[in-house]
Amino acid sequence: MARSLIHYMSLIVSCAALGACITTRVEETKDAATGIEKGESIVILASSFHTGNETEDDFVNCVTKRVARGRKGVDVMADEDFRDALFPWLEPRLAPRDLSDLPELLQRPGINEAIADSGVRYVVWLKGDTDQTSSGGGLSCAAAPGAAGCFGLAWWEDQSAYEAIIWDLQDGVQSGTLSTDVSGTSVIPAIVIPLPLIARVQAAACKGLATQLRVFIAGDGPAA
Amino acid sequence: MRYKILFIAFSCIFILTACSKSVVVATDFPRPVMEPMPLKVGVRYTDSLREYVHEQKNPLEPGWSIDIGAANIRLFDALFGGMFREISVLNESEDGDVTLDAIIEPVMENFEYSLPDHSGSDQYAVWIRYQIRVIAPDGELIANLPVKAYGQATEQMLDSEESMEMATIIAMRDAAATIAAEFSSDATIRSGLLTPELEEES
Repeated sequence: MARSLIHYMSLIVSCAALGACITTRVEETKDAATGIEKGESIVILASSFHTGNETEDDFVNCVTKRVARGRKGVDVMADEDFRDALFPWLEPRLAPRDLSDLPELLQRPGINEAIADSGVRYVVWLKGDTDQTSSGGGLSCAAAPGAAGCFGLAWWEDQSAYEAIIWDLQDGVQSGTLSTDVSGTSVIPAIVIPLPLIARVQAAACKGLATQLRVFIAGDGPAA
Repeated sequence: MRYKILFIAFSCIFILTACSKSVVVATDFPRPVMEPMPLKVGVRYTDSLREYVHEQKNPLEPGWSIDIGAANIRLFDALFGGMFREISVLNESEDGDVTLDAIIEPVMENFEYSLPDHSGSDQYAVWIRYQIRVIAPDGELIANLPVKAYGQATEQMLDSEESMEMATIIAMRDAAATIAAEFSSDATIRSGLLTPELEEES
């Protein structure tokens, strides 16, 4: 009986482990040469919710931390500090929606000085979000005096699709775009004890995008 | 018996506190980055603006108390301090001195909110309506600028008050953005406040 239970548990965990896989794709389009000097920094902002964008604050914070991390990290200014420095022209209602709005922003009195004081060279606009695309199965749990347990199999699939648009404030051009698409299935099998195997899709998207962004910003060479 | 009474008393206190939520907006607001209008204005704050607290209790929901009175003053001090060359703050009953070019009086008209349960999303949303009254030194009303502001913030696990505060702050900053962008381009306000010489200077 114990051997059968172990056999079934191993089978379920194996199937679940195969199911909790993640597929990641990162693409890059480079429109202009990049490079960052000592003393220069970037800022990472979520595109305005006025455009229907729903990029999570957690994702912006994750990308910010990963880009700044380590020996090859890039200096990143906190998004709230940059919004305050250029207030109110980066508030959701007034923020530039695409590159054609950038000249108007740069022509406003005091803006060029505020940008120079901040040391920010590149603005990275993040769009996209993580959604649950499908789910199924079920879990039943019960408890009685002296015993409790769950039985069943629940699963769900998440997809993260994000885009980063990089503007060079010094040259007033769009340097390029990066996009990441990650999907994964999470599974919770349960025989008495539930065993969650979670596909951390948003975390994988953050890691992929941040790594590529660091290389993109620091990279050099002719436009694509 | 005593322990039973104590248990019931503590349970009641727990339930009552769990049934009401309170937010006091404590943040500062930045000055706008812009060319100030060449005017000396008095900014008159009414008591209803200074002491504004929105309280709402819906059936089967926790009640909310959202205090933005002091935050209103900080918001408009920073905003008008950047919009005009010089400001002086007036109390409700003051008319200011004859050297003022105008008196600006922000009025709080309405505050509404929506919880994630209401909208079926993960967002706290806040709508605020102000009126910005522009008054000549002789008391004549020059213009009334209606301001509709909106802010939203994602639901934070276990901290609904922080989410509501963030949505409120974003709505207040949105109000400042609207006023900064629209005030100086409003034709009625410009013709009422700016002489030809000042118009050239601005």
